[in-house]
Amino acid sequence: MSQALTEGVYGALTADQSAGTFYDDLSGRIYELAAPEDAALPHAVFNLVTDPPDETFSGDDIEATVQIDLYGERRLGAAALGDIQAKLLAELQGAAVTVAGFIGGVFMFTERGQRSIDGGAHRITLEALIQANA
Amino acid sequence: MATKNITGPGGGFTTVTGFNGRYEEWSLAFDFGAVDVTAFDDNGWNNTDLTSCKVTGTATGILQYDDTNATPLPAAFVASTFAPASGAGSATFTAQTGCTVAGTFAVTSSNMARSAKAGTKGSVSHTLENQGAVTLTWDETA
Repeated sequence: MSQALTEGVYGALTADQSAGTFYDDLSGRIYELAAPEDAALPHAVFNLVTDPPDETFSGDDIEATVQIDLYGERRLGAAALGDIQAKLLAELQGAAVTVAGFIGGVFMFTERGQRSIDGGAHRITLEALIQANA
Repeated sequence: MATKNITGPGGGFTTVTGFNGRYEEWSLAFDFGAVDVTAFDDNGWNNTDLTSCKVTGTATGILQYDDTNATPLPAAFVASTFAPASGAGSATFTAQTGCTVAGTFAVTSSNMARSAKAGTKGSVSHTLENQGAVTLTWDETA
């Protein structure tokens, strides 16, 4: 099931590719688990943190946690990456997540952004909860 | 056949028609109508008679929408004229496949709740009481 959920999260992150969106600001550089060594900045890395079965008498629902890390060039300042963060929050808070085999998937941020320095990059870490029912 | 514990995922609940939710838990309580009939000739010992069996059940789950069968209550139940007949019907509490308590139940109360917080789910719960006999089926040899 985790593969379907991962595809659903990626689908939500890349759903709107129009000019000026989160996706566009990253030029589509959205990776699972880790970015390639030579990946340009800015980019995003997401990973599934938890995906326990959420049992009901009607089947197992989804209640999964996903972490999204945004990376931007340190020389451009935190505010530049913050603008991308703001777009991510605006575009995905409450957005639908399509997970094969499930219905009613929704994306909810539970951590809107912790800022840190990671080598030569600014990093902003967000967490979101994905809920869907079987 | 070795006895087995009822553990882990499983079970089920089928509620009275018109009451809906994505149920996660249920509970049942049997009250046997105990009456204290202690008399002088009981020599100081308490004496109890059982009079009738009242079964009270609760089922809790997630509040749902966007389906023809998602309303938490029958619409007629809370229409301008209260329709009590809509509040009773068949219900089955399943502990494990083949292990059920079933019968005609009246839904005596319902609760709904909603929070704005991320990660929370709207909840619904129903309290039921038996209308007459219930059937206990416990498949001991399956």
